[in-house]
Amino acid sequence: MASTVLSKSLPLQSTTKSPGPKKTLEAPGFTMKSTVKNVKVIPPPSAGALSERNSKQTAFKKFYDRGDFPIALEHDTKGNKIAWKVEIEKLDYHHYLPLFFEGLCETEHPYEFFARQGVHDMLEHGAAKILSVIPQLIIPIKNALSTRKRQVVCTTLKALQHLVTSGDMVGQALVAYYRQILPVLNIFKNMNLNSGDGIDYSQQKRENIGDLIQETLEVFERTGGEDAFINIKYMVPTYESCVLN
Amino acid sequence: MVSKNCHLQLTGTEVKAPPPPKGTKIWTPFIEDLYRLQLSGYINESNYTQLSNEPSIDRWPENEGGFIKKLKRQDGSYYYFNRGRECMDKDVATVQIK
Repeated sequence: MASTVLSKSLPLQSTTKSPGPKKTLEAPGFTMKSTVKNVKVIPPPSAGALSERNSKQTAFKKFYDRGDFPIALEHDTKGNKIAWKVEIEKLDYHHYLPLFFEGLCETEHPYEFFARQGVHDMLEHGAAKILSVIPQLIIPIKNALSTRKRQVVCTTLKALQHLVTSGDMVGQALVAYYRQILPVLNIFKNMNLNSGDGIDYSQQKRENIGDLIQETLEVFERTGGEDAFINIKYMVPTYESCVLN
Repeated sequence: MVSKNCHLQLTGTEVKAPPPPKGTKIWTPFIEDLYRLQLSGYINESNYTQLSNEPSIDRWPENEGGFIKKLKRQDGSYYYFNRGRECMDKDVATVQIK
């Protein structure tokens, strides 16, 4: 009974098939399959050295949402500004400065603005307090650069420039940590725009990563003392001295 | 055509430069300080010392510009300012001189 039903529902198919377009076989390189005749060897996948990485939720965001920071946002016609509820001089730099640096990973408003402006204000008015906090700043800086997000890298580079010029000996104290900071700068150093004779507006806005990295390395060399150049050269081999030449 | 210098020599009196048009302001350190005060909600320096109960204004050292560094606002919070110039050319006209 079942066989009769099947024979009714399925019409007979012709056994001869028409020849379709010839499929080319593909195989990744260095495999047994790739040695077979007429097999196309596909190129290796992208390593993703320049691809953006997602960062974990930062402590800065958590603390800000909880209202732990003594800051408030003031809007006016001249732009946004931070109003400090406590005098910056009275703040514990060992606690707050690493937190603000951690916030540099943020790309959303208002976290991004608070972190950027907070770092700027604390560095501008910190003077002698900054030097002793340097070891605590390395991991947040490294995390921010490791995200490889163009916006975050630009902000971090500007913060680094400000950091080394904020006080005496800060640039020299940072030389010991070049191994943590400079690898990402080496990756992006040549990321520049060849616009021919056109105008690159990112130069004006200081958002051109290649130029910013060159600028940052030059500031590092000038402020880092006599060992700075050799340490930079070790991590970024294409860097040429701006002092010796 | 008689040049300006030639005219001065002829008459023998100094001709003063015409005053700038009314309302036109040029950036000066005084304008910079007023800009910072007015951004914080005060009219001028004396108004600040009256309302904020602060005896003096915290300033950057003279060799770093000597501009206002920190101002206490009327709600008790603080505004901090940079060493360098903050009042851009476009903002100069908004500063009120009283």
